[in-house]
Amino acid sequence: MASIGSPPQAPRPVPRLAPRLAAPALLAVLVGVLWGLMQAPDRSAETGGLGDSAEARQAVEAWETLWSELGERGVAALSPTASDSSRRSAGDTVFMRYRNLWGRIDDEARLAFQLAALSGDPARKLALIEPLTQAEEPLIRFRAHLERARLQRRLQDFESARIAARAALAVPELPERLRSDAWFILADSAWEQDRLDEAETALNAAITDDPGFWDARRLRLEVLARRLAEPRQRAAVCLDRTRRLIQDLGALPALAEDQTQFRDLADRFARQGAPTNVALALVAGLGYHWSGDLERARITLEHAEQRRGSLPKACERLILERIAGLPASTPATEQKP
Amino acid sequence: MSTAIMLCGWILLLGTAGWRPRCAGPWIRRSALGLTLATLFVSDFWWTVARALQGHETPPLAGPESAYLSIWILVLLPILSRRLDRRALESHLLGGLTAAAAFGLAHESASLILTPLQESWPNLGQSGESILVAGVHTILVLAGSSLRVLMDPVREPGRFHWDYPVWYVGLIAMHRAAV
Repeated sequence: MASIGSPPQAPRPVPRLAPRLAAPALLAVLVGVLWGLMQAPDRSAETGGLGDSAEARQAVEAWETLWSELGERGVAALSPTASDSSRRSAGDTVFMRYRNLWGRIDDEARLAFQLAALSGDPARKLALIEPLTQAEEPLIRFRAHLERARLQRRLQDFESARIAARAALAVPELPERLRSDAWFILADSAWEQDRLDEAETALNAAITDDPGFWDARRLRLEVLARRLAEPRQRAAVCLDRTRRLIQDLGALPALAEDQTQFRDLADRFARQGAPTNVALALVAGLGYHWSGDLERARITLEHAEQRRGSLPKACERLILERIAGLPASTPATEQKP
Repeated sequence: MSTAIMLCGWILLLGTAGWRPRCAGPWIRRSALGLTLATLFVSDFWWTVARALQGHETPPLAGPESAYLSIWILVLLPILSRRLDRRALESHLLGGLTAAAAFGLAHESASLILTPLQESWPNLGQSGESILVAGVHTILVLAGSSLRVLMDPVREPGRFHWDYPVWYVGLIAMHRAAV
């Protein structure tokens, strides 16, 4: 008798060839992965529990290098070496940092820039500079974009400032040494817009291009302190940020030739004696230590242990190891070569 | 360790499909989908992407604009084959999920193999590393493709899911643009 309704479904054929090829190949990958995992404990120990990634190893290596240099030369190890004597560490406008940079500019463009500089009306300044963003000469184009970014930043139009700074960075055939200012304006605008990731990346680029850039290092201290307070960061990233904080702390007074900045910066991070995490406690303690206030340094570092719990554990452990090994009672002058 | 466990799961499922097709009942489709989702869920790579989207980390993938060719192909494929229905959309999404799972697994496996290998064998060189990474990705492309076929509700002999390799190539392009 014929059945009523749909006929019973035949079992659908399962493809065989591709799985038969893929399964043994995956087995080979699994063997490799298991071998890699067997090597992992040793490498994890090498990186102080930060994991076995290349990022963790680089972070720990840079961290150890920083401390071995501090041990050998003291805070003087953090003074940036001036690779370009034509640049100043800071300036009211980015162009004040350079000497004789614009000697090659043709007269027409020079006049437009001078008129823009003399004008007190921001709209007039922008109108004078705008045509120069289309100039053929890369240096003029770069300067026009950067000047526009600076003006927009002063006008609190941070989005336009970011766009102009990015346009400046996109100008080809530009001397590398000029890029740091564009990175800085980009970072500053991103910071004002609370785009901390972009600000951090741009500041890292600015300082890599010009280690003696005071403004960039000062802003990076603020950005890094905020970034360290954020949840869910990798231990290696946390350690890198702490290292950069220490580097910036050590570099700023040297660049400004003003040792009292150690104290000001330490006060800034100590926030009335209560840093929010162990990294900031270390930075505040080092600031007091290098400024010569050993008692404050000792108290700040002693209380660092109580700030545990807000950073990744492996990162906190490595920082606390360093805090425990700090000769807090040794005057800063004794550490200098 | 999660990478090794997921690889075991993939081997088990594909091994069953390849050598014991009679044991592979209707459950195999749901298992393939479940395994894909589990792989995505435990993947460090995709967790990093998720954290980066929240602005906490530097993203390991660039924006979709770096994979514009793949995106164009993914848009044009259903138009050219005149399949603009719900099933085509489902098929595309499954291809994307499988490619994402396979890519994350390949990325983590290659990293786990390569890191100790570079220490044990310093003369490996850039080309050696590239060959190894390419090999792992090729294996996972093949495995992911097989898994994708197992997810089909209706078997169509000879049908190849073109969207799957396109998704995968797009992910490679986005990753390369970010590094």
